[in-house]
Amino acid sequence: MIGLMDFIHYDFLLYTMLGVFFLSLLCGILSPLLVAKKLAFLGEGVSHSTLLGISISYCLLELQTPLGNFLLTLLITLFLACFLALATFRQNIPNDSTIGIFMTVTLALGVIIFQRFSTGQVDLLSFLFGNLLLMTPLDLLFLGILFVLVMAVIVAPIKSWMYLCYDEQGARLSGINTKVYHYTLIFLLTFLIVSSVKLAGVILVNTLLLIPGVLSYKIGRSMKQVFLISIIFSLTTSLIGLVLANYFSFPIGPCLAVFQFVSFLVIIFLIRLKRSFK
Amino acid sequence: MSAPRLSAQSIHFHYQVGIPILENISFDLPAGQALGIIGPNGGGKSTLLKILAGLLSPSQGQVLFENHPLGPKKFKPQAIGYMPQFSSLNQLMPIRVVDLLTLVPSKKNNIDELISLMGLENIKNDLIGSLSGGQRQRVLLAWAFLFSPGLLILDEPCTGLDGVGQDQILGLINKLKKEKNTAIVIVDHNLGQVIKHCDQILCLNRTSHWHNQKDLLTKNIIESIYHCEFEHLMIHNHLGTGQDHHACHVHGEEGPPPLKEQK
Repeated sequence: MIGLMDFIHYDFLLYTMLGVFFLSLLCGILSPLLVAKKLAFLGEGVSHSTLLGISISYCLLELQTPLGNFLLTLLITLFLACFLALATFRQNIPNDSTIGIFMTVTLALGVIIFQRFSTGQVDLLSFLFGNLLLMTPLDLLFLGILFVLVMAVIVAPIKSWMYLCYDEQGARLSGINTKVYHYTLIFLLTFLIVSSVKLAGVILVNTLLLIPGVLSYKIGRSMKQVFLISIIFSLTTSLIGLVLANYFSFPIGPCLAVFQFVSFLVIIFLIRLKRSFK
Repeated sequence: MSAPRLSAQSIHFHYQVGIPILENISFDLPAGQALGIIGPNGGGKSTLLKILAGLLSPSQGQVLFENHPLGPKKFKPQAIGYMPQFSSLNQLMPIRVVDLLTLVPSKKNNIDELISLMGLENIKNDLIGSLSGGQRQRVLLAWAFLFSPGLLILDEPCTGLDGVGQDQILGLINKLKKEKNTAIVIVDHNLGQVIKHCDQILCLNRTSHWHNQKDLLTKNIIESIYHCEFEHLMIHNHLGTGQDHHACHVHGEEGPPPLKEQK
């Protein structure tokens, strides 16, 4: 059973599995919106800037409690994300340039602070690529809170989000406050990325946020199908990827990313094959 | 006499760099009338549309909708219908016609009535991306008219349509104007159709503009706004490409002196 029993016998693996479940569910819901709003690179910017927050809270201030570390990282990353949201909302400078500068500078600052102040207790690679051993019940609680938030703020008014993604000007005229929606999405994205850094890592979390959405737009024939495909694909590939990572002792972030990408390619290939026979 | 549905009062607009885009544009548009805005590319038509829709604030002057000032922070939701260009919509998203019409909560009667009014019964479950140009424009018109707005703003409704398609869509627009008493603003490059279906015309090329009833529009006025021969324009329109012609800037940036408004 390729190590499935491990997830029952070891608490930390059970936490990780539950964490991956919530993370992939959230990514499945948010992914079609991020892809439609062309915010892929913004997610990359936010995820890279998380390292600065981690470096400050874990190494510079050396907070001892997991809750303190999480909240401070979240606060710092939110502050950086707010700047990013402001700099990318209807500005003249191309968004990719702004985000490109932002993500490299914050990542560089994060690495400098880490190198200068790290006492050796924190493993940088674990935050960059994820680590099966880092997940705690507290992290699960944050993911649970985020799930409730996403259900209330994204899923309940999903038609307004679709309107906003389809025609922003029309959405404004129909009374949707597009600025509030823009900041809300970036806030949730930041919360998701900070909550999932231990699982997927700063560098790789974005893959989980993009592949389900891209695949679902390729094969979905209505927006309902798009969201369903995205959620189902994200859940199944992430959970199988986790089992494989545990079985082969691979780092979890890269394993999830590669398995999702391979699954994406296989599905696209099968669909094309099916069409060629019609 | 009742107040006009839409009133533009000395609209000036420039972006932060200070180059004027629009200067001193004024008009009144009563209910049940259509204003056609024509002019070359880069002449400020889209900017003016955004100001009239309340999406942009003018640098000077004001827009009144039913006597209430309009702007980004004070527009009335759903009081103004805006028909975007299809190219400005997110074509990645597989949206069906009926899904589009229910993106914002509306009375079911409205949607059924609208589907029947626009002749969308047979295509209501189709993806918008799979429709023909004419069907697509009818869907977008229905979408803009979803809340029976007092003002309908149409951004190039005839783009990409052949003569029959243009007649169909403009026939529907006339129907809304007459039967629903809607004030309509149309931007389109097809001079012949705009002049034929609109009551007032605004010729616009940045700071040069002319506005009046369509009967007073002359060949000379059009030539001086477009900065090129009338016959040349007609050839481009006759080709029915729906594209703006390219010869408008051959006389350089400055062009002839601005025309005074002939009221």
